[in-house]
Amino acid sequence: MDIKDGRTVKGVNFVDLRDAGDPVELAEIYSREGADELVFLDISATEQKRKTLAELVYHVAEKVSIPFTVGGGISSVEDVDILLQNGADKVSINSSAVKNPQLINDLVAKFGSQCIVVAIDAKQIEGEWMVHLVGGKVPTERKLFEWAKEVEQRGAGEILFTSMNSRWYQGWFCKYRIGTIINRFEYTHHCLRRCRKHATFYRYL
Amino acid sequence: MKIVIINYGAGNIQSIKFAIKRLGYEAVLSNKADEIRKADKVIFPGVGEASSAIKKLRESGLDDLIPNLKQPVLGICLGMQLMCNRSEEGNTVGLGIFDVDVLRFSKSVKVPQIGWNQISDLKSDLFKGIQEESHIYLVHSFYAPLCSQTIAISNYGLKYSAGLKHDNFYGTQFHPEKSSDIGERILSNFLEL
Repeated sequence: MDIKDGRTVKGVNFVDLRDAGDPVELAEIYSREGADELVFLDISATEQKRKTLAELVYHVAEKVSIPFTVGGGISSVEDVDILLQNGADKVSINSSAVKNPQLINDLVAKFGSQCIVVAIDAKQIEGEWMVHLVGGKVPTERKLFEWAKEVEQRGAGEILFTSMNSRWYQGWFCKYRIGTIINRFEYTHHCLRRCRKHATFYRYL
Repeated sequence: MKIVIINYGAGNIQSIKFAIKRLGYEAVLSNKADEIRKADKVIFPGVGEASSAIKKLRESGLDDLIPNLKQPVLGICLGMQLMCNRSEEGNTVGLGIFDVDVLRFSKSVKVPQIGWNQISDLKSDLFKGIQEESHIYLVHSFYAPLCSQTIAISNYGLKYSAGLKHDNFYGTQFHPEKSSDIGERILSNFLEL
């Protein structure tokens, strides 16, 4: 779920966002319907973001009985500490890891690899998968597979991969390919397996 | 009913508190011997590294208290592992409640195991109403091998103890508070023991 100012939003590649409801209510529904895990990515850019995200985590933890990951603008050990204390099972970092890869090692050393997820957004440009930031808007010099391997070596427990070329069919296809290339991608395998079993899961993405 | 979650500074205990609240009970977090001793049910959680967790227990004298409790006690994840004789993690001496040594998963499987797996060969009232092969959620790098106190088995490269029981002491390697309706039923079973 993409979150903006405390509400769930939907759009394609973070453009043309529209309101999709209260994240806590949706989380309860998804949990009840048999989802395995939930991921909340806060894409708002307000100064109160840290506080509202921590509050959201607290309320989600209160209501759902499945593991969930939270991400969006997390850039320090302190940020992660607050979110985990409020009840998140895992945190996801993206831009801050690209800018400062050592952050992955620091977080893993403090909290353990089991709760550190690195999100990677990538776009295929002239046949080469390149890492992008800010919802695919900002290209980087990093190649997807090299970055993924580095992320693993630095100790991240899971990778949350999004293909920015297409969030639907092609996205899933890419996840599968990457999953087969780098066998470490627990999350990728996990999602695919469950999606086959529970077709309804697709609808929620 | 008075439910105490032992709070010794190890791991995400908020989720356990919330899970108990969803079942209609209130739990208190405590590291005070008196309060723990008087509780009807005690939950002993834990996420993190074994040797530093046991050190925290020793500092607060809880290592002597826990093995002598008479009411039902449920150790979850690292909590369960600390109730065993020893752990390979940090070469830790445990509380010696469960007569088994905790080992590290071999390199042939991805470590840690993060995600959903199944439990089978279910014994004891802790699993009343739970079907064989039910899905539960786990996060761990170390495991307790099968032994005479095993009450649930899971398989990750090899069969290991997903649940242990000795007298009034119960342990689950998985997280009931994160295992959806199955986990809630198991927690509810524990609270109704």
